[in-house]
Amino acid sequence: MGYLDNSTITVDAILTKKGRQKLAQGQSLNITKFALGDDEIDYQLYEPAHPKGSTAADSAILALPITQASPDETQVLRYKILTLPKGSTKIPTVNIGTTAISSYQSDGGTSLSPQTNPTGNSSAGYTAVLADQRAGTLQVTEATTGGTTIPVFLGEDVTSTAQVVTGKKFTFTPNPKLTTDVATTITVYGNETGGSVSIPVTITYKATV
Amino acid sequence: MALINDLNITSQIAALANSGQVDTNQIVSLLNSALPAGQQIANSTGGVTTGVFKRFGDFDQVKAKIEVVTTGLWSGDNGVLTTFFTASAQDDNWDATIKSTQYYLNVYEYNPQLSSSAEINFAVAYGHYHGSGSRDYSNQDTLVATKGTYFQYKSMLLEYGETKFSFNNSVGTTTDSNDIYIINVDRGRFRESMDPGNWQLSLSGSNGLFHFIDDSDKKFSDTAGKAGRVFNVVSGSLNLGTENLATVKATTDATTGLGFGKFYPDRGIIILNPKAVGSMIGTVKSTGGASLGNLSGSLSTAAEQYNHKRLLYAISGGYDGGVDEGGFMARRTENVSTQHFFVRATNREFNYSNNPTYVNTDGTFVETSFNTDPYTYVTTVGLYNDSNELVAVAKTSQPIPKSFDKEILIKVKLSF
Repeated sequence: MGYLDNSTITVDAILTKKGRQKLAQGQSLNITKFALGDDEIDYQLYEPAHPKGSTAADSAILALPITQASPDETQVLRYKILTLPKGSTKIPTVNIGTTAISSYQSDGGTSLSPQTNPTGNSSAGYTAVLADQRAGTLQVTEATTGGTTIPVFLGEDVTSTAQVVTGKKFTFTPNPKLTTDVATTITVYGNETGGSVSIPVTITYKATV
Repeated sequence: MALINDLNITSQIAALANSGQVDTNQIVSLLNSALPAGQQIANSTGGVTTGVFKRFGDFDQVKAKIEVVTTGLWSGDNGVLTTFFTASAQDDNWDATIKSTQYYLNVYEYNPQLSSSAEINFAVAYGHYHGSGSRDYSNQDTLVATKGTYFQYKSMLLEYGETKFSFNNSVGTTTDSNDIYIINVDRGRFRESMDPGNWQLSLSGSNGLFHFIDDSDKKFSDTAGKAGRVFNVVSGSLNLGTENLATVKATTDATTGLGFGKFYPDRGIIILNPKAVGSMIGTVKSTGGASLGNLSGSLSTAAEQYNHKRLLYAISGGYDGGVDEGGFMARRTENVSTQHFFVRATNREFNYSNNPTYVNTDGTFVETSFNTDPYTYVTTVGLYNDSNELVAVAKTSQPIPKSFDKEILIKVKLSF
């Protein structure tokens, strides 16, 4: 008669900088949901042809020592584990129909119509982040029905320079008052699936006669 | 099955259904408001929802739990301090030009000149009601540090109207004391409170090695004054390592009949009565063997007497290599607010990953066997608020495999 395995999974959480900031401001943490991440896992370590057989396919992954949690909310949970229907053969990927935006400051707007392949984000929509709002303006041309927010927390250093909007479709309009070239990015996150796509944005200043 | 005969509830459900937009959570909430505990319906948010987030159910969170956490008081959370150093910049030659030396001495566990990791653990000081032990006003440069120190701690610790520190005596009353020794624990070390009933100070002198504890008997006292709870310092032993409770050997000094001092756990301060401890301990020697005089202190006002130096050497001499429970043992205690979250991933949840090594650019899986039997490996749990702000994060000690034939339950403890 052996002993029962009494190991239980109990972990200690630490507050992120955002969490500490909220407590310092006298606010409640108001935790309502969780997400799971696999930031440190490289799935190339999964070896179905392991010489010990299929049961050992993930032995290299399971043996990984895990580093301690970082309080920087922008550096953890970068890759989230998600729930999809059984039998899914694809992770929903976000596509916005263009791979780059390159225009002059006086040009008109560019439509951004995010799509999720094969499906997803139809209800909560997308969050578009223009990293440097000097480059122009993002406008929501089709709003979501319910209030949704971005599935990743953007650090204060990002949100201080970025424009963040939530919706189903967007238009990017260059800043006509620009007097110098600006290169930045637009990143669109799927609010339900967590997937994202990022494209470069280059606005070139052209002097008007 | 449970029957609901509450017309108010059923009419609200009907109104919700007729609104054209049915929120299942609202329906569940309405039903649960009429159902007794044990028959309530799990919130739909606990069900399977495509996406990266899962909401906690009503029973997945244990909030506002207060836990009492005790840890060692000294650097590195050690419970026993056996080495005692002062900063030479403050200590060298007991130079009267270094003003802080006249008031107090910071005590480190390592030599701060040699170790950058040396931390201040506590300070020792001496105070006298009339300024004895400091130069008097015949010297115009005097700071009358001992008087300043006495009145400073009087203001902090005594009630308004109390003029002097007063200690128990052998006849059951109290005796005022003109002088005091102060052991002031660094704020960062005791944090919220020293742990009553769990400290033991060893003092050594010509009469031998003696231990001092408080008389709390590991209970909380009803005596709470201006400085919080107050206990008496007594001669005794914690009896660590035995099944015996702390034992009090004497509440007063046998010769003088005076009490040994007061302990203010919430201020991290121990006040010692120099006459009582001096009578018991006797003469104190420096590490070089030179006599520093009786621990009761010198009352001379011709020059700075640095009586707190005598206390320091009585403390440092109190560690005898562990033969007789020497050293300065102490713990701190904190009330830590904790929340527990039960993170449940059912068999149908969290089996796919956005990890770039998991997925090709077209969304297909890098590992083709995942088409039929997907696996993920959980290393991180993120706790979010409704604004999707990550307010707390936890890491697992090793990757936890998750698949359609596995469920995981992770208990996340958040303390702050």
